[in-house]
Amino acid sequence: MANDRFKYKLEIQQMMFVSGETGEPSPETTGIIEDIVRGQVIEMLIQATAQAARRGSRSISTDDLIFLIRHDKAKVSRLRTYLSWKEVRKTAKDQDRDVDTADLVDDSAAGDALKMRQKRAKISLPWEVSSFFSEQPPEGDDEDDEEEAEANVATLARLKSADERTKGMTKDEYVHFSECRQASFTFRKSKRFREWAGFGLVTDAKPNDDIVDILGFLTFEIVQVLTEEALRIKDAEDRLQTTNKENDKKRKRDRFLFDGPGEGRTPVEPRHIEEAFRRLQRPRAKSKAMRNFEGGGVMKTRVGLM
Amino acid sequence: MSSFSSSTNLRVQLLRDERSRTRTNSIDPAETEKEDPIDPLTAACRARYARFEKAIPAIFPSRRPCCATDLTVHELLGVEEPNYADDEPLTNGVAKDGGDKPTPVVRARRAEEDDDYDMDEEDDEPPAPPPPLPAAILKARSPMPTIQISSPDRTKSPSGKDSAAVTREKLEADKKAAEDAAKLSFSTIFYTLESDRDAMLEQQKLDESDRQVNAEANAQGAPGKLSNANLGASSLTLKHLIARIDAKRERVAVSDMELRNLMSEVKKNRSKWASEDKIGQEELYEAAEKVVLELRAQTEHSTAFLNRVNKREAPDYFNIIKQPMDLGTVMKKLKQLAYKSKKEFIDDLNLIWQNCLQYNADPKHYLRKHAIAMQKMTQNLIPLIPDITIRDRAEVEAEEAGAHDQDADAESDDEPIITSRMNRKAPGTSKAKKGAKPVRTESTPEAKPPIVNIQGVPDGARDSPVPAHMLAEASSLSQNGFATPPLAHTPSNGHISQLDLDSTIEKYEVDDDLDPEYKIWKTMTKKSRARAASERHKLFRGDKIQLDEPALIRARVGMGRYIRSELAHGDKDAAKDIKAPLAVAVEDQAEEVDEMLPNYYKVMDSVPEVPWNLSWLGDDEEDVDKFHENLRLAPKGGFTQPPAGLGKVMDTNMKVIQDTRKICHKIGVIKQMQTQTQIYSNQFGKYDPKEFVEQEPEDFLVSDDGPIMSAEVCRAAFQRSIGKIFYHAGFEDYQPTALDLVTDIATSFFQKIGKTVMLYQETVLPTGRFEPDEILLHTLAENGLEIDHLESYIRDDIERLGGKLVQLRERMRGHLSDLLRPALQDVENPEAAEEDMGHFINGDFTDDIGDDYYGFKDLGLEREFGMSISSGLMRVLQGRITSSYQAQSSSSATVMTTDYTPPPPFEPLSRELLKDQIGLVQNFFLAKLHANGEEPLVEDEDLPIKQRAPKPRLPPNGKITTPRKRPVSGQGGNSKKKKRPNPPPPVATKPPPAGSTAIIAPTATPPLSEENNGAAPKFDEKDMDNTPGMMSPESIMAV
Repeated sequence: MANDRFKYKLEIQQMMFVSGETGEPSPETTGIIEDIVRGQVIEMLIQATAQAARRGSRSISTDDLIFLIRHDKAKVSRLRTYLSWKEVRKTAKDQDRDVDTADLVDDSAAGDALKMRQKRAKISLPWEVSSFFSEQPPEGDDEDDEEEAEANVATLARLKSADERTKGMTKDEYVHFSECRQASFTFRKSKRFREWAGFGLVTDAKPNDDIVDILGFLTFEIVQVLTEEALRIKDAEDRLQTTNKENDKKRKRDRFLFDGPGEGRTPVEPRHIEEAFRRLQRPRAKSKAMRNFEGGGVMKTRVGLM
Repeated sequence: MSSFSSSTNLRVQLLRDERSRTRTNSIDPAETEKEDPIDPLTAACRARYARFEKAIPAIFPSRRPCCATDLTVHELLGVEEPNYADDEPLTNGVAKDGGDKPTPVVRARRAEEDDDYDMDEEDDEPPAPPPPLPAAILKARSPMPTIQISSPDRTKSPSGKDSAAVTREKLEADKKAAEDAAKLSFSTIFYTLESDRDAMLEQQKLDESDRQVNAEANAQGAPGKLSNANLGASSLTLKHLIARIDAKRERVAVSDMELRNLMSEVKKNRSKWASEDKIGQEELYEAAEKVVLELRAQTEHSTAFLNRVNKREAPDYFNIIKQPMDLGTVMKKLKQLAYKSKKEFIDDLNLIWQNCLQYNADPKHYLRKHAIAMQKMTQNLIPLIPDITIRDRAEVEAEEAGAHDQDADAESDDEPIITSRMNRKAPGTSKAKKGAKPVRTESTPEAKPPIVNIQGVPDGARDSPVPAHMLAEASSLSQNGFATPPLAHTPSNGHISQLDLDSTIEKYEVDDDLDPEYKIWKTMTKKSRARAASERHKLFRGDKIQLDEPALIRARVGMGRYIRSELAHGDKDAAKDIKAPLAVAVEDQAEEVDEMLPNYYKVMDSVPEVPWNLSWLGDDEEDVDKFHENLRLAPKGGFTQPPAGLGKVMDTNMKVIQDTRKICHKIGVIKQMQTQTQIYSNQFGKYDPKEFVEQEPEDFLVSDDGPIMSAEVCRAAFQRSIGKIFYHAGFEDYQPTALDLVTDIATSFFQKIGKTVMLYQETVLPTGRFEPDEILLHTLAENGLEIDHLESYIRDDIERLGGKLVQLRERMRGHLSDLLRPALQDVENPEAAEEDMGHFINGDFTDDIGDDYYGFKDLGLEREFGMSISSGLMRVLQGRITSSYQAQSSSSATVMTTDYTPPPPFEPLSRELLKDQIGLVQNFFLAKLHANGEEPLVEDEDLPIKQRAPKPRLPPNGKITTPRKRPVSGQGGNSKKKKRPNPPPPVATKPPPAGSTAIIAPTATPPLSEENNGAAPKFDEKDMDNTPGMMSPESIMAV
């Protein structure tokens, strides 16, 4: 496989590591993930462009992108958090260059940015309640964060699992983990990302920084989702294989003193990724409902966004 | 129909079939007589038949007194059985035939002295439950009715003319009798409609042929009769008059044509066939035409003979048939006056049948049957035609002059022609492949037997000497054994062959002549039935009901007839319902064309009065009309949302949204006040949303329980709900097409849900059916929904949204009071401030702005009484708001400028000040002043913001390239939803008609019940202008 075709081998490996893959995935695995991610990005861009055209605009806005994932409330919430912190970071940079902005993205740094929190701009979306009305009251402090807290449940669970993983880590390992967490398709690689995703072909070649950032965020999510799903699949497969082995060759299972070390955990293979992609692409019952009683069950469908 | 269903004498086809079977069994009376006491099976059948016949009234009991019977079914079937069993076999077989058999004998005898026997029959008919068959029907049962009935004294009349007249008379009488019989049978037999279609088709063919003949005749130009109808001296009666007229012809200012018309008027009894030159033409043609018409009218048989045989239909026809003939041609020839004698005419007619029999040699061919029937018919009709040979008058006169024997006139007219006809007839008849016939026909004219021994002819008729020629015709062409010539006159071989032939024919006739009664019915009512059937077919063209056809309407005449028949029936129940005046009016009605149809053909006439449940109470009573069981008001609430449940929460949410919008509007107004130096009267629209109230459709009636199926109303109600959901989702207004689209999608979705539910309901598992909750869950899953989805919708999109909305409203209120505070903090009069604040909070100040302060209609009054408090406050308020806002926004700048006192403003430039200016600008300012109406000029800075021209900006290169841009007008404060491209024209919300399963009272309903009626209509108009093409839920809130 031509390795130069794939530009994000390292990033994907890092993301997979953060998502729970301990082994070293093969280039084929990262390659297939990269292809999938690219397909998703292009699909997102196409749909967002169509949405923008419906609005009467030629260039896509962040709202168009968020609109595509609006049903995944947890993801939207994470994205908003991400964006608002990005805003905070930008203003902080302007005001005080000394603040280590890189830390702000980390959850560990959330505590010490208490004063920033006051200024943290709330990203309002056009389909929210406040847009019902022509006038916007000034921000109040009594924001009801109930919904946000609910949406954060998934994020918190994820952070918790990361915390569990890092508990037993040495300092070096933890540093490695932190570095991996910062892996991004877009961070300081905006141009490469745009070329890779074919921005010029699908939408305007020079999009808003925010859009690239959102896409960077979303690509990370995609890799994560794929990896988690693939790991689940692999686990199931492994369980199945061990039970089969137990049934088939009980003899060989017996280990002896001078046997070599047992086989370690094998990394995720491309077939797991493919299976994970297939499962994630399974059409939702919701989208099939309107075709009931009307045939057309085998109609071609678009790529589902993850 | 009631009179038929409850008729005492209902006899359906089955019974008739049975009877006709027995009848065919005994088709040869001689045989029957011989075998009279025989065949116990037949006897038993007949006994059974007779018994059932009598039992009919008991089986179908009638309310009517006249038809009621004391007998019960049990009596008839059980108790009386032995009697019948005793009776029937003992009496002769004839009596067993339902009492029919003996009657013909009696009737025929009575016919000799009384022609009106039919009437008698009719009179005493109704009370007797099993009606004896009318004579006419019996006559029709025997194959040769006319001959058999003819009374001896009449047939004995010496003159052939007389005999023709008598025959005609008799034929007519028979026809009338048959008609009466058929009419009578209406009430005794229920005829099915199956043969109507054939009747219609045949009638159509006949009409077509009529048209064709007429067209052909007309194409030949004026027929010769006019030219023949010479007005010359040959007319005997009017000879002198005509001579006189002829003499003074020049002095009569009338055209020949008119004269001729006059003449024919005078000679009224003369027909179109009349001719002066031709003796006997009128009589002959008159009769001949009648015969042809009569033959044609027998559509059941005549259809095939109406028109010329087409070469396409039968390519070899003209090889076999050298001399084709058909009824149409005969008619044409008649019109062309091509016949010189009765014989020629008869020959042509016979030629038709002979051709047919010859061409269709196969004895089983269906046309043969028709041909033979027509032949028979012809034989019956021939006596109608006087035996006349048309001769020129001149010739006759010459003969008269020459001859002295007066008596010989008639004889010579008669006898020679008969002879000659018979002689000439021979070759024609011999075509019929009947070996015996030539011999016989040769013999008959000579022998002239006074008594023909016809087997099976009733006694009275048997002795009657039939005129020779008639008999000859009959015997030569008849099919049934009755007319077999006497043995003495016929060689045995001929007789045998004749019998053979007859029997074969008989065989094929049987299927048609199943039941003579039925046959009479068919022939007598054919025309009427054809008409009725064609009307019916018009209604049901193309196998579906034709909505464009005129409605079936009860005619007064028909109803009257029906009522009369009911009265005649003696049914007091039916009669007493009808109000006397109506009945009288109907009685007075002129008799219409009497149609030979039973009442059930005219369904509309016999529709009984619908008993109505409408009762009128006096004026003092509250409700005037009461609907009883049939119709009732539809229950309320079918088209509104139930008062409890999710809808209530949504309503609350929407109320909050409306409140918040109101506050938003006020904030917008205040913001504009802040930035603007001047406020225009029409600047602020009044925002006063009305409460959502769902309205019921107006009262309408339903006839049954169950859901109301009215697509339009249901759709409108659905649309209303969707509009509410739209509003709930934050859309203040939306395009009607969007609403339509969403309604369509939602309708389709709910239809799918319904179908899925039905599918699961109808599915039968081996373990049983699905439980209701299972069905529901399955349906949701099949349609891509889960309980979680629904729950999260309710939780997030409705309940939590409500919380958010309330929160937002509070914040909006806070924001508004924040905006108002600077204007209200240092008002001298705290109460006024309170009040004013109250105005704002309650949203009343727009009223003040719109109506009091800026309402020019009130301005005069305001001036007279001085400024009212509120308007004064408003002005003060505006000033304060503006100043405080400016102070807020430019606080830093003002702080800076307080250090020094600003220079005094320049005085406005006026004509006086202009003099001091330099000469260069004087002309410029002069022009400006002139344009300004000699008023002092105002500095640009002092102009209201709107009138200020934007300051030109110099680009970096220092060149002014673009002309000044016009100031952008418009506040831009409106919501972006209103800026949609291509707003369609405003759609008036159509109040959909209400509908129901049964009766619908579609009514328009007002769009919304207005909560506060104080809304100025002026404003509503403006609101419409602001958002053309948009509709808001308020406008579609009503169904």
